[in-house]
Amino acid sequence: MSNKARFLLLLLMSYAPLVQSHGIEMSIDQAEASIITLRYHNNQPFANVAYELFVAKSKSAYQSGRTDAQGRVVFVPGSIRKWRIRVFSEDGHGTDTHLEVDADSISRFSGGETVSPTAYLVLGVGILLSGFGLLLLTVKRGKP
Amino acid sequence: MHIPDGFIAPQFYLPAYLLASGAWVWAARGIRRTLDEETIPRLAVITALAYAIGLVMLPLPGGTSGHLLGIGILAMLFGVRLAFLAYSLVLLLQAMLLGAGGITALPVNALAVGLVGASAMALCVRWRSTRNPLPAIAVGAFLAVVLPALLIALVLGVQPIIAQQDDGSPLFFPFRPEIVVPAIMLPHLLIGIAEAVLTLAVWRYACDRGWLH
Repeated sequence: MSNKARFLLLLLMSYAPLVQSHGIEMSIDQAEASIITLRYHNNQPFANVAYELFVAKSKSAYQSGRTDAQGRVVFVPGSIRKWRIRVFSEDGHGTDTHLEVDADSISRFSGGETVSPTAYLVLGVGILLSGFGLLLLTVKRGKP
Repeated sequence: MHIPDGFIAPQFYLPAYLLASGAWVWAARGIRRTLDEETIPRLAVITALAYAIGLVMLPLPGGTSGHLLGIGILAMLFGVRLAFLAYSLVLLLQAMLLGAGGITALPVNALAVGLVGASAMALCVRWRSTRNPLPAIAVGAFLAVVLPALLIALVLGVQPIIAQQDDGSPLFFPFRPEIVVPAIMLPHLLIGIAEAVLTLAVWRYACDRGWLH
């Protein structure tokens, strides 16, 4: 073997570890996951929309992708409790919400709702009607 | 058209607040002269209607959903100034009580729907034919939905262009106009038709009761 051929062989061998680094190893572990479920007010799942999940105050996304058909985002929070999720649909719906994962792995939104949307609908109509009612007390009399 | 918080960059919504503040002041000028004890109950009921129908989601083809606005009815019955103020109030309540639309997006929603939508309707009402006013009313109600939808789609579409991280990734709403404009406009063409039908029904009712002059 000529010196040139030896040199080429040596060069190729030196690349072997680099070639190995192109391989993907896979392992399957079990861990407790948290599930964020996103729905419209009418209970329709917010399905197949883009999301970005951040560790609170981090600028780069920890996890990103699309919600599944049930509007869910599944992630493994580990010991991290405070998170932020941004969800965007192409037609301008979505949310940017901070949430906290409790120690018992049951997640809750920081702005969690305790009153139903219907109650808020009735409350809003009530506020409007009573507001205009007060305004009515202050205006001039109509034409006779 | 309820843009949530976190979708619009501050360099956009802060000037929008300035612009909307000026528009709110303009609309509120002389309001006491236009309101009397006949107008206020009607305005209250139609504003409450706009609040309620804005929260009723209608299923649309393609798996999406949308809602009526009621801005055409407000503008047709009360003119641009009152319609703009009333619809801004509707947006504020929807944002504060239901989280439908964000406080940072309020001026954009108010200017697009409350001012541009109401102006489109008011122009069509002004130019209506006395013999057959229905086409102008229907077109006005349709435009009062479609024009604001286009504006809001463009506002959302420019967000990834005006606000980016160092690596070029969008800081706020991530989709560009070529994606967001068709995604918003196609459902709103159908919503515009439904809004036109509702507005025509209210027009007939208002004419029967002599609310319109």
